[in-house]
Amino acid sequence: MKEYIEGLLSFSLRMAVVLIPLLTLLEVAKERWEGRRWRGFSWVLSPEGTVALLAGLIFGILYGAGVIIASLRQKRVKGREALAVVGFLSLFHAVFEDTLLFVAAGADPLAITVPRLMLAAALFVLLMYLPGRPTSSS
Amino acid sequence: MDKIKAGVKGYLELLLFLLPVYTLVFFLQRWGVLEGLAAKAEPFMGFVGLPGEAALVIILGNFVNLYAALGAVAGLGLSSREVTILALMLLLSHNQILEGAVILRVRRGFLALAPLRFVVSVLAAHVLHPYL
Repeated sequence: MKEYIEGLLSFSLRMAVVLIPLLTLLEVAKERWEGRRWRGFSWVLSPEGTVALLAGLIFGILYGAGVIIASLRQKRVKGREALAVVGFLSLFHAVFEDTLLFVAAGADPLAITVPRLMLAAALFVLLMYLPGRPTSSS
Repeated sequence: MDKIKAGVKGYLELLLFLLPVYTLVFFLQRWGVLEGLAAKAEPFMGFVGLPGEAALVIILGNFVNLYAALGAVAGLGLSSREVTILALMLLLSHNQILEGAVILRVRRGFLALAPLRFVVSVLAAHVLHPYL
């Protein structure tokens, strides 16, 4: 019984230390975020695609769902671009929250971040530039 | 102030999943109930370098969410190498039902990405686990 309680307390405490400050920060970031336009990736993505990508990366697929869905459904976003962005995000999103939760649980941060980023980037390139197959338009 | 409240609320949501899953897994493991599942899962889990009972973490992470998976991680008392492999897999593929719903709402055809995530997570762990 002692082991049960100790395990529970130490684990929930570690999660609290990570999660409460992080979610607070993300909440602040989300407020400042709205209505901004981003052009940093204009060499490969439309402004809408960029917003969706960044929202997913920072806030995650669920918390950023509103922004991701609304941006990628814009007429200006081509099917191929939307697919590449969603494909990238499906493998790599909520970089801060999800990663830190597992690091707090004992995982090696580099070993879980680097392979994921590489796989997501590879999938992005594949979906974006693979010749042939026309992607569905909406 | 209400930003901090949102942070605390998010943490309470984690506890909502973590507490029951941790408790259940802790005692099921203690009483030996998980041995049957572990033995069945052994061949598949060996492919990704994990013990059989870690299958529970993969299932919970994919069908419920990461909070439930973390509860199981804590309940099973896994080593940090095992947690790293599980994290690699689960960060690639988790919360399939809710996240699948979001992906579906972008464009219907994109749903094929959901099974792809799972396949990628298994292959990544298979290739990388000897180095972790």
